[in-house]
Amino acid sequence: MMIKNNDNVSPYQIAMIIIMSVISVGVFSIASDAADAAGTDGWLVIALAGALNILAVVIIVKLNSRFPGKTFAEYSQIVIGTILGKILTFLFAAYLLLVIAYVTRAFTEVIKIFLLFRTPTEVIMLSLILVCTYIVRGGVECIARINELIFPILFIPFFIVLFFGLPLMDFSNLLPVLQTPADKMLTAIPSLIFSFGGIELALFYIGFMKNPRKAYKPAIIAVLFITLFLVMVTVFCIATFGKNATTQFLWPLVNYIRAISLPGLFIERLDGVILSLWMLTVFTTIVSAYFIVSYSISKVVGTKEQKQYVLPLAIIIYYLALQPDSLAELYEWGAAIFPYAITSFLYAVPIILLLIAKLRKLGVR
Amino acid sequence: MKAKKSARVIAVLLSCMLLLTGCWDKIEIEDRLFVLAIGIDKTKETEKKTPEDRYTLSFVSPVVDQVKEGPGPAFKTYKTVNNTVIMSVSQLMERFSQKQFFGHTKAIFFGEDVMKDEELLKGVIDGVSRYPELHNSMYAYIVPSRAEDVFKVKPMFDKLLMPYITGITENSDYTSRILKLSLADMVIKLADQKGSVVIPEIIPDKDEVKMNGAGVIKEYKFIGYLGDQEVAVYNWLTDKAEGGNISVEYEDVSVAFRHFTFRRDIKLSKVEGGKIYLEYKMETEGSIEEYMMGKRILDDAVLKEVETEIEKRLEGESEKLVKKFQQEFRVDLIGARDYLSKHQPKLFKTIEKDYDKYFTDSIVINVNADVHIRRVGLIK
Repeated sequence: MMIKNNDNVSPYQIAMIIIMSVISVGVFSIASDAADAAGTDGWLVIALAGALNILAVVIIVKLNSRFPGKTFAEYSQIVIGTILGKILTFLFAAYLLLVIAYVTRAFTEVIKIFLLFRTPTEVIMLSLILVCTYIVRGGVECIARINELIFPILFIPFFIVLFFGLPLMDFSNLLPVLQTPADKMLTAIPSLIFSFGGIELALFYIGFMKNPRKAYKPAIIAVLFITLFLVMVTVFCIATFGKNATTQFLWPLVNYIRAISLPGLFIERLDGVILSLWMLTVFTTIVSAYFIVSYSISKVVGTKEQKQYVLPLAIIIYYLALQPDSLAELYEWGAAIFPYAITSFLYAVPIILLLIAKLRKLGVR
Repeated sequence: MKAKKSARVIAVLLSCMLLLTGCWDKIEIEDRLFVLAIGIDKTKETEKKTPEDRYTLSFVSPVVDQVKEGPGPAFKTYKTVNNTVIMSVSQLMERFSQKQFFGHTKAIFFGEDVMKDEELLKGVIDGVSRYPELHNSMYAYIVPSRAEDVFKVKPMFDKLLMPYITGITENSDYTSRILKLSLADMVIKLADQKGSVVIPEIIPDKDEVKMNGAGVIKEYKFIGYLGDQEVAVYNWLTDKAEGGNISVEYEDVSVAFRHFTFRRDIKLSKVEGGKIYLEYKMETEGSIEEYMMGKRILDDAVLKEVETEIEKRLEGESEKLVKKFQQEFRVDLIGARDYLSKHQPKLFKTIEKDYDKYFTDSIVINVNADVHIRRVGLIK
């Protein structure tokens, strides 16, 4: 290696990794899901789900700081025994593999509709996966840096573009507030949890920090940022289209960006620009998850390096991504798998592991 | 060793070409046919090529080399017949060497026939909102005759047809008698108002178009027209008016009042005996534009009286149109549902189920206008 490989992740990079892993294709459809679940109170449900996830991320950091310098793949073997730990890690990797395939496919569908109509699906997917493969072979430092680098490139133009749509909005569309019954709001939360999937990657990445205790602040800030961002997107979409039309749309955010026109500017329409930028967040989501998959496999098998697993995995991802017949089937699969997987890996597994570690007095306090 | 390495680099660069040289989506600008407007009609029996044909679509595109200066017409029109709207769009590929491009489409015209048929209208609305190549920012119009007639108009002062028509629509900032509705707004309104909407009407003539009335759609079905002045009143009632003119008689002299701002607020005054009383508060300010030479209008007492006249006019006309919506059209397009659902959600929940019945029978709307004359022009 020409670059010194010190395999360290800074607290700032942890925040970036969490933000960039969570924000991906789900943002396109979240306003529609939220409006469907709770009408004009949809954004409130997202805020509630965000608050719940702050709790989850605190538990994750707590668990990780008991085992400094160790990732989930390593300390799970300490806490619940080698075999059970390996099985859990393998399940985690399998779930992430499905996430990658899902994100790849969903994004390809968006690109195919709005940007590259005639480019074969396979080419879009393969080029995306192969670029990711290249980054993942670089190791954890590479991933941390790419997340750090892409964050400003993506969000600064994106926020500017979002605010160009302000003249389209009618904020009275957000009324009435707080008219959804409390029980309906609570039952709506699980359907929006998938938008927060990706936080659980912190279980691994915090293990690469020198001092895991320093992760509390960046992790909480990251979840706050994600929540605010999702709330903002939802508020903008509902304010522009009203709750009824928002529920009709498949990807309200894309509709919103397409509705913005800047007459007199060099480019009048911005959807092409934003969608190409959006490719970056999908890319970081895939990269962060992809590395964890290859890393977990190397820990389960017991090899030192993770590099050799990356390229074979690309084939599996490509195969999985091509499995759903249509967008409808893809969404059905997503709805069938991810809510359970996310609930278990984001909430259940960290809480159970933390309890067991506490009872067995494992790790440092 | 070194040669091996450079050979490797060259191999990588060469294999890059495999990915970079093929572009499936490349379309040269000469190959694009810019569609400026779409007209949708119900297919006449005589036009049908197969019994399934339902829509006649008309398109207009500029002839680029004739637009600046040229003896020939600056735009060409063409039409096609098919079963669904989007099929007709792709059918054009079979007839033209260029590819249609809808990124700059400015308007969509609906023939009255399409609007009268619930199934056809639902098909069109679905097609245009689903098709990703169409942008929703185009304006929507209803044509009392057939939509294709609009494209036969040869505008007097403009070379191109579409900038002429959209230019008129964009004058709605200065005159309240023109209604502006984009396709996006139409889709939103149809979703919010259960398939009902008021859509601007356009009447094609030989060398001009008239754009004063509006069509009323109820539950995806055309039910009637609003007249010239009624469109202004509709704009007042729905808080869409900005600038405009109102003329009143004061002591047997016509006074022209021009407003620059117009605001409407709805308030719930009371719920009594099963009836809901709503108050529409209108507030406008502007100037006197014309009076009678030799008579003095710069007098506070006179201006107050003129203000009362204008207020009476506003209230009278508004209440007349409210009555028309309640009794003739029997559909709420004047913002009462919008207000109740947003600001009185508890009350609205009790009447949501058969709201249309409540609207016609138990909602009483009072209009209350407040006019301020700020200026009187250049003479006293």
